[in-house]
Amino acid sequence: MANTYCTATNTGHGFFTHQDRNDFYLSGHPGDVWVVGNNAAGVSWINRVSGTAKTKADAQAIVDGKMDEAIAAWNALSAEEKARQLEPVKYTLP
Amino acid sequence: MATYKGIQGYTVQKLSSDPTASEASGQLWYNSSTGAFKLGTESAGVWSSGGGLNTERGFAASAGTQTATLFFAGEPPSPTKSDLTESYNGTAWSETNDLLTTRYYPGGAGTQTAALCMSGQRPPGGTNITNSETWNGTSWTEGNNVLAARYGGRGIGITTAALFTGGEANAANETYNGTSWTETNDLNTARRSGGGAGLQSAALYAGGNLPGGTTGVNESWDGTSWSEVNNLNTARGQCGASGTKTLALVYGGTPESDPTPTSAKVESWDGTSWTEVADLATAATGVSGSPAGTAGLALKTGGSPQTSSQASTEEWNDPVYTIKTVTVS
Repeated sequence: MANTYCTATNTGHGFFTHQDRNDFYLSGHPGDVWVVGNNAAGVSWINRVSGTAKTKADAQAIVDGKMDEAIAAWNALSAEEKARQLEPVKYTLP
Repeated sequence: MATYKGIQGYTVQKLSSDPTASEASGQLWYNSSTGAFKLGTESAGVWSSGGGLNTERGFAASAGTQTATLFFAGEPPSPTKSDLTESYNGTAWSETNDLLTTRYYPGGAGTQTAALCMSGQRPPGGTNITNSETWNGTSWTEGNNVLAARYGGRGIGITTAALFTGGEANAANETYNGTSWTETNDLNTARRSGGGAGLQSAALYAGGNLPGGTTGVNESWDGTSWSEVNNLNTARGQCGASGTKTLALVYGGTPESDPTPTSAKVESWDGTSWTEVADLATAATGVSGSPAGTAGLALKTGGSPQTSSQASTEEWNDPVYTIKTVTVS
């Protein structure tokens, strides 16, 4: 399994460091979902940021819910506002 | 027992404290205070998390460097807050005095202590405005208006020598001398919200939004006119940028071909061509950069409501200097 999944609140400076980015794969998604490379450094990072482990399906459901909210908000925009911002699109977590 | 000096003819240097990480690159030493061998290393650029904004928003503007930034205007959840200004000290953001005129999609230029905010759209309704304001480190003052009202134009340079380039379906290019704006030679391709870097006399404007899409078109400014140079690898608009005409970084934005409207992709410009480098941790569009920053030290701030990064910032360091402890037996 290449990745693990968690939720964690980005606390700002030091939440993830340059060293973290060199040590494991990391990407952030709506709903405070983080996709984390499945190695010792990645597991250590989840513990350091007090992340809550999620299955991929659970993480995807959180992201989908946030994207549904974003799509609903976009649909409520005026035509002019819609022209400035592309419609949000659901996507699959890596 | 053979000694290291006996074998190699020299000893490992002994220091009572570690040098800075950048000074230590490529060095090996013994730290006599901690009793440990240390090694200074250097690796390719990556992004780390920066301090979180107090008010999440995108489609704003910024001025300054990675560690001394001003972030102003933008589209937060409530349009009544589009006059907010925040200041970054390299660790945390603090709110400071608001803009005089609420707006989003303005241009921004200058530094944390001397900045410009020009044009943009005023909510609600999205009316294009010509207002230009100057920041003196404490508060905003109304200055002479730009000549062409537009949104998505990019500011480049400093408060006494700035460029205001492009805009929605607009190729206009104006120069500012600290007092007034003057129309000068247009962009070759009209577009908004590209990545602007450099100075009034030597600049780069990469990518941008076209009506109904994005482009990877890249133009170079020699102080007199724009000329086309090599395109971005990934067409995008609403991206951030830092650096100069010959060494620049473009990050995030809305890509043309990606199935999602946000991108984590980052590209580095060496004066001739673009190279993909390490991604942002979080894909984002509607971001602001650090226009007075360099291609090696950049700050990505904010993002659009469709992203997860509206309040987040990320800091780019290239190279990344690290001091490591050597394990000995």
